[in-house]
Amino acid sequence: MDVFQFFQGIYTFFLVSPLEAGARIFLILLGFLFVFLGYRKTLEPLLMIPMGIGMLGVNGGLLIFEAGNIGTLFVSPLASNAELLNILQIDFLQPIYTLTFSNGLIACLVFMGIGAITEIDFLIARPYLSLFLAAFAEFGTIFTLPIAMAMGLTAKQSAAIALVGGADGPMVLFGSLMMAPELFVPIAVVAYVYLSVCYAGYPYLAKLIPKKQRGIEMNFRDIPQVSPGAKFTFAVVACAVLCLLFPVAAPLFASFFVGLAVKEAGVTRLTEFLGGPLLYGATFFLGFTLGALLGVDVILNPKVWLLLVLGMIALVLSGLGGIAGGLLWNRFAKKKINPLIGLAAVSCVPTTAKVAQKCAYQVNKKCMILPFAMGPNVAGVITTAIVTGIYISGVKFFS
Amino acid sequence: MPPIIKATVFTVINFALTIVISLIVAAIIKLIAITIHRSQNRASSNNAKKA
Repeated sequence: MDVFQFFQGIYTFFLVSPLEAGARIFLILLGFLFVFLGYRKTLEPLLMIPMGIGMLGVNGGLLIFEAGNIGTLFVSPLASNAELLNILQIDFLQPIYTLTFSNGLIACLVFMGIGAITEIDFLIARPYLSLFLAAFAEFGTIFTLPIAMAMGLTAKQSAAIALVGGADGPMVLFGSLMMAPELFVPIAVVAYVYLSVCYAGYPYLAKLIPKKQRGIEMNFRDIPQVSPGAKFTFAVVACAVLCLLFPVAAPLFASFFVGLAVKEAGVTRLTEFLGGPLLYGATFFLGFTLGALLGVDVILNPKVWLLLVLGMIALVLSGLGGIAGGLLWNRFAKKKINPLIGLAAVSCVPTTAKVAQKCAYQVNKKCMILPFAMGPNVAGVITTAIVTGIYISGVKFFS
Repeated sequence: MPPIIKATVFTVINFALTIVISLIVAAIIKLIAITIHRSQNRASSNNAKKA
């Protein structure tokens, strides 16, 4: 047994219950699967490769500390204030978690980057269409709340998991920190796993749209030239209005619109910084830290299975809502659109817009809807922020 | 009132509120676009007059 003690990662399998050992093996295998699917580009590689490696590391790298308890050298999300100073000097991802996760900074950093790479021409050209589709694509965010409450979660926990339907990772992180910090880790993990699954799963939902409508070509003349001045003014005014309406979500609004404003003001160096190193650096550490948070304790929490079901319900409802919005618009509007841009209104920027383009291209090789899909896609960020603001401000009144 | 009924009422209000605020944001965007379009037109016609 002494030889085994030398290899503590293996030895610790024998120190825990069979259930925990089985869960560890399951998570290690799941980590391999995420890395593989990320490598094959079936799931979003930007997130899945760091997340998978993080899972492999944290579930493989269990060791016995001097006090006799079992742990890792990655991160301790449940550390108390008294322990924190010590743990900050031991767990290598603890500074990232403590200084950027638990205050929502990582979500804001990602939002600054997204703002700096976002094209809002179609949103400004067709704001009513974009926001109409985006409001429909919030079905999951809105209607999962009563379902979650019926399944036994509290109002705040239900609102936090319902936000997964917005398919907006930073917003989910922020919302769960504000409303259900006790479920922050499982909700964040469920959200990001599902956001990657969107890439593979939404094309199946898109098949609900009749093939003929999926191949509708959209006219580029419908996107008039919008001056950077108009876009800059929009960023500044929309930021002020939304911050006034929803102060609790103001950090997210300010982060998104500062990225957009910097881009439209033509401050190239800042735009390159926000949309490049900052965005991808934050996404990398987000994925890696989330993977490292996905230990046995998370998977054995019975609420996680409930959250997995509710997260799936929320995302499916949002996708269906977006599709319904697109079909409804075509039913009543004179100028037809490709209803797939409704699916892009689920605000996983720019993944769902890319999925919409991919689905349209499969039906009609001449079909180019990506610039049109970006309008509802960005509008989706705004509506998700609106719903988040409503939840954070309003859920306390009825819980 | 049972919590689930409260949640359903809240959901309906939430949906209505989301649509209303989305429309307000859309109207703001439209207003900005129209204002800037007009001011650009005015500037170009002034330039044309000067020329």
